[in-house]
Amino acid sequence: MKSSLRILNVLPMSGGSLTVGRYCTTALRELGHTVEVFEAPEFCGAFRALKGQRINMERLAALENSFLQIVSQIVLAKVESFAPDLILAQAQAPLSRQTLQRLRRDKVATAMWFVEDFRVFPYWKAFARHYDVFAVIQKAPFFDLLRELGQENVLYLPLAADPAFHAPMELSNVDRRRYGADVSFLGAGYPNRHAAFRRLTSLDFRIWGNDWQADPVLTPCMQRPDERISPDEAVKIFNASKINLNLHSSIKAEPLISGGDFVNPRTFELASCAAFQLVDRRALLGELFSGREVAVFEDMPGMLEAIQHYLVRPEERRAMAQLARARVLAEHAYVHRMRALLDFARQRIGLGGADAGPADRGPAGRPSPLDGLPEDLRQDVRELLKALNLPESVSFEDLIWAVRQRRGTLSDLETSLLFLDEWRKQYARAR
Amino acid sequence: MNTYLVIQLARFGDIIQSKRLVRGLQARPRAVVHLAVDVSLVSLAELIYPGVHVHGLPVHGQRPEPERLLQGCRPVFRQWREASFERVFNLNHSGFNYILAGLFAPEQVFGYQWRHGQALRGAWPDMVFRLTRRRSVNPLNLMDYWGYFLQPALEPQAVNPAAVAKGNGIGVALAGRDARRSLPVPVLSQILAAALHATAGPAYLLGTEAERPAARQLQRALPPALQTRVRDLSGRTKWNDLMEVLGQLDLLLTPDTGIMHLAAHLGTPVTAFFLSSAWCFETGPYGAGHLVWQAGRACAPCLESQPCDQDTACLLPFTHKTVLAAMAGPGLAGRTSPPDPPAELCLLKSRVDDFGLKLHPQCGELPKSKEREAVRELLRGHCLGITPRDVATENGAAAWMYDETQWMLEQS
Repeated sequence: MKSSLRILNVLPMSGGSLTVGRYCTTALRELGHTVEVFEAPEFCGAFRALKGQRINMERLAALENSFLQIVSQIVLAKVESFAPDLILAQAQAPLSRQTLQRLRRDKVATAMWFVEDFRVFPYWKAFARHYDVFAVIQKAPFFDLLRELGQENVLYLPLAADPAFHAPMELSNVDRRRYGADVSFLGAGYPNRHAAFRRLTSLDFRIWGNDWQADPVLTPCMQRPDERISPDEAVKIFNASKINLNLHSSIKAEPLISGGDFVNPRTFELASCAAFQLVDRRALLGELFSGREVAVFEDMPGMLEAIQHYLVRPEERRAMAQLARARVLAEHAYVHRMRALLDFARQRIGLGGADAGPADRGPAGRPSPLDGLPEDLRQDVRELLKALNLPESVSFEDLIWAVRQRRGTLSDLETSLLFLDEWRKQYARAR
Repeated sequence: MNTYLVIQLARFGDIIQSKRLVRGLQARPRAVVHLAVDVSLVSLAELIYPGVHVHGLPVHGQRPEPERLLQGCRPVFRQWREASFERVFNLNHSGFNYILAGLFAPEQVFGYQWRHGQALRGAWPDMVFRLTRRRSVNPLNLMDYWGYFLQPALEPQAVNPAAVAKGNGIGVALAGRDARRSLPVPVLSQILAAALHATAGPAYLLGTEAERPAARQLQRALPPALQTRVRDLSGRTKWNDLMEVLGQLDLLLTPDTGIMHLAAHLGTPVTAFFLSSAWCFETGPYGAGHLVWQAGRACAPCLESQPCDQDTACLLPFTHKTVLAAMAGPGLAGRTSPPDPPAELCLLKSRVDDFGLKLHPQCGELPKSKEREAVRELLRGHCLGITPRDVATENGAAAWMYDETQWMLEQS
């Protein structure tokens, strides 16, 4: 186990990468790191309100820019008080270039996990070089393009799942009726999906998700159109469906199967749920899942044929789905991704400094909160560590940070520990 | 029962300057008042506030061993959590105070608050914080600042008795916490000698063990005939001894000290000397009938934490013949108004009005008196909720005392 780090996770205001960001937080904590989260979505309301002012466009642009600068300043203030070893950000995290430059000057390491298609979301060109580490979900030619722009620390980091959340579940009969179907699809309405799914309307086929344009042919299949499906409901849909179709999006209607490179999060989430999936061929899919774990189709006839084949073979479906979950547990959980990212950062930018190494989680030389306490108190602190999901070897500083993050009123023990911390700070200042 | 907790973790003088608040709470119906102070000040607090439950926490002094600190504090915190305080008055902008606020729901806490790990200032401390950035126009005595944590506040007249000479000589407080704020021995000895000429009683030198060398120097610096009248009590008084001595004096000569506040608490007349970073409008003796000599150079009040680049020039006027003449005047030292004030020094006399302590110049002038008065009027209207007497005067102060956040955001 590598040494424990202090990581500030700067979430984006909204979008798919926000969900990924939250899974990163969980995974990093699971790995024993102290994670502080910058909850950018809490600022989203104010940002949206700006857009509703019916004001001059130039003025609006200037105000939006000022607002983002303020949000960036708040991140800097958080950095000042939390003193992270690393700032992790996901695509669209509110870190301005000025802020990133300031962080680099202050020697605060930054890492971006860019979980977007670089062709569709091209803004990385202006920002990539300002991060110390740039993790991406695509390979060539993206790697070379990034290097050309001066970003040398590029890591291929495919998406993942959270096996504790994306898990097989027993559904009630009601839920099975509500969410189940022979064939299901969950996702946004892209042109290639519109075109492909028109061919499935004769089946027991349900479509879930938002951003679907009105389409009379698909209307009978649409479930709660324009409603965003929560992650909890998504897991139920995955578990309730015999075949989960997973057709990667494309902004073009043709070809229906775009043959792109990156693998979407749904692939990992379905696998993690041990839900059977039929997924379109992707250039990077083969190294993540084998044909024994997920069923792959190359074109429309192949998709239709596979549906017919697997619908009547529940055992085959179950066997593949179980293998897929085993693969996720072994290789494709967010903890694997976060571990890979931190290992890369340690190796490339010396993240964690002298503390990094195959030691236990408690940073070497730092006092443990249990040191020197009488047994009764020690037991209470142990209980607190357990409640905070912290190991006994956590440093005193990290325990204090975790206590400060607690919501509501403090207990007498928590207050006592913070009081002790205040003494330590005052003593340090006096020296 | 209405149970209140006051958290006052500062020093000796601050314990006494919380009196308007603490006594105000005690005066409420069916009130039970708890007071948290540094552990070294528990017995003092018990003397000042009979009937108040005093809790000691280790905040100043030697760093305690972690396990002893945890074992000592935890039962107190547990007791507080179980006490169902109606309100908690958290008086200091310090890390300890913010943490203690975390024991309670934010709505319970007045003053310095804690919400989910974020330290916050309430509306009144926030406003006064702005004021402390312009100290030269600050008219707000600390007793009144803390007093207005409670609404309505205790009547200012009910806080300390008016100053009356008690007949047993002069006391001399030897030093405050910062040496630059106190008169050095050669200056103090001249002032004490002048005051002793005006009375036949003894002179008591008061201070801690640390002030004993200064006490010996002061005694030796006096003319031999006066030396025999000196009783050196430095380092020899417990809190109750100190209160007994102070309570019998005709006059206390003092810089800005806790002893000064204790004398004012007892209604013993004070003549105080404020210079350097000491600003009598903030921490002058509370109650009617005290005198303060306040240095009034353009740089006053300065910052304790910054070195003086003027060679403490604000000290010079204190040896002016007018000061010495006033100390030696008839009646008792310093009771008269000298006609010829030295430059950059002002003698002020204390009174209390409906808002709080007010210092009236007796001779000399201090800069920015009009601005200070305008701020005081604004604060008076703010705290008492009354119609302005002169809104045009207040307007200038309102422009910087009231900021956008107060106008636009909900105030806690």
